[in-house]
Amino acid sequence: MSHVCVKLTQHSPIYSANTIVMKICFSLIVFAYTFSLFGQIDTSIVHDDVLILDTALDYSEGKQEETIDNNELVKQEFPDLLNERSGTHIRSYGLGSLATSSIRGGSSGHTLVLWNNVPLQSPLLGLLDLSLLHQSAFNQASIVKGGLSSVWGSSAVAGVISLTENPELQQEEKLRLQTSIGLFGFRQYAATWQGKTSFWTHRTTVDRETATNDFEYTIREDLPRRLQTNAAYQKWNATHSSLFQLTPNVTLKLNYWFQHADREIPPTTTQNISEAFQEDRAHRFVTTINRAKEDKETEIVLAYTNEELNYMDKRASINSPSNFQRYFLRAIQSFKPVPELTFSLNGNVDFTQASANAFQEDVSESRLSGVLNLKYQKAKYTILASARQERVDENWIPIMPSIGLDWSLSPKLTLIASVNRNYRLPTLNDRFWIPGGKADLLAESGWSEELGFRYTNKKGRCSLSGAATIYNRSMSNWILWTIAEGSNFFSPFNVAEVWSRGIELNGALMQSLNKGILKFSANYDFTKSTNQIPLDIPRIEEGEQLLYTPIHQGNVGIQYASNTITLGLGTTFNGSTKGINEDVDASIVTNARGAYEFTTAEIFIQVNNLFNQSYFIIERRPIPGRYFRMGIQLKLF
Amino acid sequence: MKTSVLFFLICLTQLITAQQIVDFEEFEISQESFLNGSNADGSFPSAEITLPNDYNAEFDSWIGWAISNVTDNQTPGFGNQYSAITGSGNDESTNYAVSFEFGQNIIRVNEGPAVIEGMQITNNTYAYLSMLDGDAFAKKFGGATGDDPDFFLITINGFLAGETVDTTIEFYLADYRFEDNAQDFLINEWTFLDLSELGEVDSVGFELTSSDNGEFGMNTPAYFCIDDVQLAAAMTTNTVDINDSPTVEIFPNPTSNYIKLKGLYNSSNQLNIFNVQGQKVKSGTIVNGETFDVSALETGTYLISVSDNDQLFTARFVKS
Repeated sequence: MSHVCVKLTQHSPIYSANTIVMKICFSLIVFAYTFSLFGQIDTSIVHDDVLILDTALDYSEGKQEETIDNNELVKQEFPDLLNERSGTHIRSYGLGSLATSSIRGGSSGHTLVLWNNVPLQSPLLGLLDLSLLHQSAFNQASIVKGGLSSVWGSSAVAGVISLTENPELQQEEKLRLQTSIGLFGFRQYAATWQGKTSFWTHRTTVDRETATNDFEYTIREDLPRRLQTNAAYQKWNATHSSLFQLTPNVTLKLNYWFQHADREIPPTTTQNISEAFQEDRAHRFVTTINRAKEDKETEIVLAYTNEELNYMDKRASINSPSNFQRYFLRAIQSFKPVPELTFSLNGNVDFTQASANAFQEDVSESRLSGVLNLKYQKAKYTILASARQERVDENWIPIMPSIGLDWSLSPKLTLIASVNRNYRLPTLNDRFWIPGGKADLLAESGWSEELGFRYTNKKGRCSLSGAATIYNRSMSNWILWTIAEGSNFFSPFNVAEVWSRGIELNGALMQSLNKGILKFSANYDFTKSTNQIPLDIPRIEEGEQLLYTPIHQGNVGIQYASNTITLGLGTTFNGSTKGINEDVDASIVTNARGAYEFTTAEIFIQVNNLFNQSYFIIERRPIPGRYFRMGIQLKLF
Repeated sequence: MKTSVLFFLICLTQLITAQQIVDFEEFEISQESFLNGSNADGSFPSAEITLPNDYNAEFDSWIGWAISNVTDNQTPGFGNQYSAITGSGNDESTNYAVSFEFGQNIIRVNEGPAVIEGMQITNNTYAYLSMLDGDAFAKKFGGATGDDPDFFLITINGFLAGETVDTTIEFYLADYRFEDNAQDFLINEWTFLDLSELGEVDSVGFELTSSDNGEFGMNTPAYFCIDDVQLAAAMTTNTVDINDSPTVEIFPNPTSNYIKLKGLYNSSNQLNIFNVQGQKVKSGTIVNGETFDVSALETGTYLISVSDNDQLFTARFVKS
């Protein structure tokens, strides 16, 4: 049966993947040639205006890491930033709708998202809706690609996105009021108050965002443009973080995040009407106590999460509430028996209770785990060896070892390498959903290896950086929902084996000008992620690329930033993908942004889809053409 | 000559036989409810046929056939899976059968092979509204442009003594393949599905296919509804020769172009015309008192059979 494809002909040029790849490769070659033009330069020049802290995710040796600081977070949507800065593929179902991440050809459940070092993903769904993340809840983000299950546990298969709210980043007392407007009824109101005393640093934010998202889109030139309906949302976010310096060696950090989102679920392009609605509500508390001395450190993390997800569809008489409470404890003890060696042991208790209409009764899951890390650090290299043992309810998960290496071949060039064993536990829906859930599912597991280089070079007012990585990952017992023979409902099975491999390249060139910094950046990901076992349902051939996983993906960007002006232009290329129902064409989308800062205010504007392309990331889920958002932030003190 | 015609008629009478109608009304169902096999019987037997059912008690899930009297034909979605789009059984009756099967769904003939003349069939509400408006998983038929050549097709096979009979019957519950979109249709009334061409069978199988398929198989909900299954059975006292009927008339006879039937109980009825060899040569719906075109028939003697109000009327007519 041939697939029926919706062809968007207006503003829908057909891009050849090869052409785009050639363009990006050409850009990288240009960058590569410029590498040789620079010698050793002073790093401080290009970072004059940026506060640099040690933002690295713990135990990420042997991996490439991308850090996004607060200055960037406040100026751009986080999913867009993730995509532009780290090459993370964002599977967006449309403006304001569900958005999930895919790193290195993994599923959305193969990327662990942490908030203040506590897992953020829903234990029912096993994924996080990135569209619900609000930048007010964190002021820095780190993206580490590659397997990190030995350190961070289940789901850290393809990468880890670590979001942290660090009051210590706030160096001055501030009160900010912000409002933004945009097309399709977009309105945002936000307030931030932060302060600092000798023993208390704090930040409090309140943010409300609404949009009607009633944009028009084109199906075919000869047909009337269609208006998106039932797509409105309203979101509330309130956060507080406090850092207490209890003694010179002891800190206490408190984080709280309240989140409430009401969202209408719009119809697809092949659906006349939708009255579906989703309500998400979350209270998240994290308490972190840290005691550090010269040769040892103790940290205790206590977290409690209470989340609800209510899906309703009045037309279909569906009301499907679900909720969970999560209790999380992590205790870390590390010490240095000798200056080069850091020995760290941590224990984790993760207990979840959940209820849902689709469960026969309230369910719970307890996870206990212990992690041992040994880090050996010399002037030119660092070796990290880790091992994790976890028990889920009554079942032991096999030991997850890993080893990583950072080796400075020269002051400019660092080699990275790592080997990891990774796993992902079945979700609560996988285990308990009625009908179909199977309590005895195995964890997905496999090995990953990667090898890469990091390059930094500075000369005068110029800085050049780049990275290249080649990786390989295999996963067995991959869980897919399918219909067993003779059955009439879907059930999860450990049926698939997936082999993912690829190459990642990125580079950035920064030139410090008289009053600012000019930055060119580019990245390109080649991702082959294929099923190794043919299946009937879902219909998968051996060696076939996973759904919604582009083989080619890249970004190019240019940005100018000074004390008063920020201008940025970024273009993202997503190669064509295969969808559940239809193929999705390749797309090139350009976003532009600008900001001007006065003494007491800052104005900013963002123009998305600058060239008004018609495109899809998920088939049948329309995305608007060109639209803008603009706003003003008042600096009261 | 008269003797031979009489012989034909006797033979035809034996061939045509009377009809028995399974209307599912004997199943006791509380109002606005259904039987989905949760009583673990594994089937819904009537005197003539059996509708298999497989119920999963662990997950309260079923496959095969269900018997329903649900009248809600407005609510979309899986929660309304037991409803016929007509909102009732055929001729406003109460009960009807609902089919849900990804593969082939079977109706078994209870005692020996028999000719299943046909049945009334219509769309299930969940499937109908999904095809009409689309849902989160399945497309509205015609697609985003309205031009997609979509279809929802039932293919019916007969089985006799373990063998598949040669004839296959296709019936479109929805057909959007027309050049002119105005001709696109979704079945939303009880419609007679003629299965007599299958001949004698001991079971029939129904298999659904759709133009809307994804990686997880068919997106269109795999449901349809049936009622009033008509089986041919031995001649019974319910069979009435029109010539002996005080109320029903057939005229003109002989005829060259059309026939009319008058005095039938139902306003419209299923009509079958057989030649002297017992082969069905024409069938269709005849409206009480209106003409039925027979101009295409060759000159000769024919037998008609009309099912009306649980009686089978037969008559001979001559095409001149």
